[in-house]
Amino acid sequence: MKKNNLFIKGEKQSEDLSQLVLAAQAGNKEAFVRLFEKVKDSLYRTACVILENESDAYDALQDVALKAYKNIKQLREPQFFKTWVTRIMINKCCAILKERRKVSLLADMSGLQISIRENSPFSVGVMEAVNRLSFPYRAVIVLRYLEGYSQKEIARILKCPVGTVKSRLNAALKKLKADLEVQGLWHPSKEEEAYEL
Amino acid sequence: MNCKKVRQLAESYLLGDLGFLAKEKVEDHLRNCLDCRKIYSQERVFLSLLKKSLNANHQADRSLPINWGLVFSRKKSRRYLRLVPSLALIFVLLVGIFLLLSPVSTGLINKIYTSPEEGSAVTIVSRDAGYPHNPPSEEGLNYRIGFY
Repeated sequence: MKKNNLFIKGEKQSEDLSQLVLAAQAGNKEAFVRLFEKVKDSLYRTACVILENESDAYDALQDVALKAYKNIKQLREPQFFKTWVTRIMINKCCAILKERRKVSLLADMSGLQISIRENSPFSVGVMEAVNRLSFPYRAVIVLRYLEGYSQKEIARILKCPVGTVKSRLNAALKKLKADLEVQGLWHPSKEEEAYEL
Repeated sequence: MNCKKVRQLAESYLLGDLGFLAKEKVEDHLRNCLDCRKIYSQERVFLSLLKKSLNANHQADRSLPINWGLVFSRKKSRRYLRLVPSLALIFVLLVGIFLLLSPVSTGLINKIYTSPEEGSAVTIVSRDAGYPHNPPSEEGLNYRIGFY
């Protein structure tokens, strides 16, 4: 029964989102604001992990809001608004990282603010390990384990086959485990309760 | 299903991304294979810790308010202005064709010479031959449009 209620709630939320999208496409600015506010925090979290910098993440969010407003009429299926706008964010983050790579050859990158909070050593270790992953792996980890997208949805966001998403996820998890094992933070035989979070 | 295949599907199975049939096959295998059960258990722990760590680090992430004035203040692009260069080109082409084909323009192009010997004979210069021709008759004159 609980599962059914959650399913119905999910459907209702999706309907509300679709209605807001249709209103925004008709030119209703207030509808667009309400629509974007629903997904804003999720987009910001994604950007924070990928860009490792909160101010860059905020700038990216502002740019994504502008781009989404400009192109909302191109969205043919309103129910996929969240995946559509997440794709815009991922593309924006990719562009920022490319730009940074050009600059990093000349500039010192130590001024970058790393978005790791004061947490347990394991959490800090996980975040540092995630930050060491290259962009394609980091993107799938964030979308899967922070934002909870399915493999199919991630494939839609990243515009690649589902098989590619699966292999990237497996490869990323393997790298993370190896990284954490080297740091002594992960051991396969330990139970979950043994880790302090 | 063999152990290699089952282990590849661990992540999908644990996060509920497997279809009904594949899930049944994995569960069937896990009932009989202790090694795979161990690996699945480790994978479950790791994924749970990973999710909790990511969420713990970012749960409180709330972005600053969006500057909506900046988003909505863009000027509306006048799309029809993009057509101006194409329309101008078409206009020039049409004017050019008109000038080539119209009676006025043929009059301008055909230079009518009067033969210096005869005085009144009309010589029309043809582009093709490159030589001046005398028209065959006054009626049904078919002046060739040409350049001299």
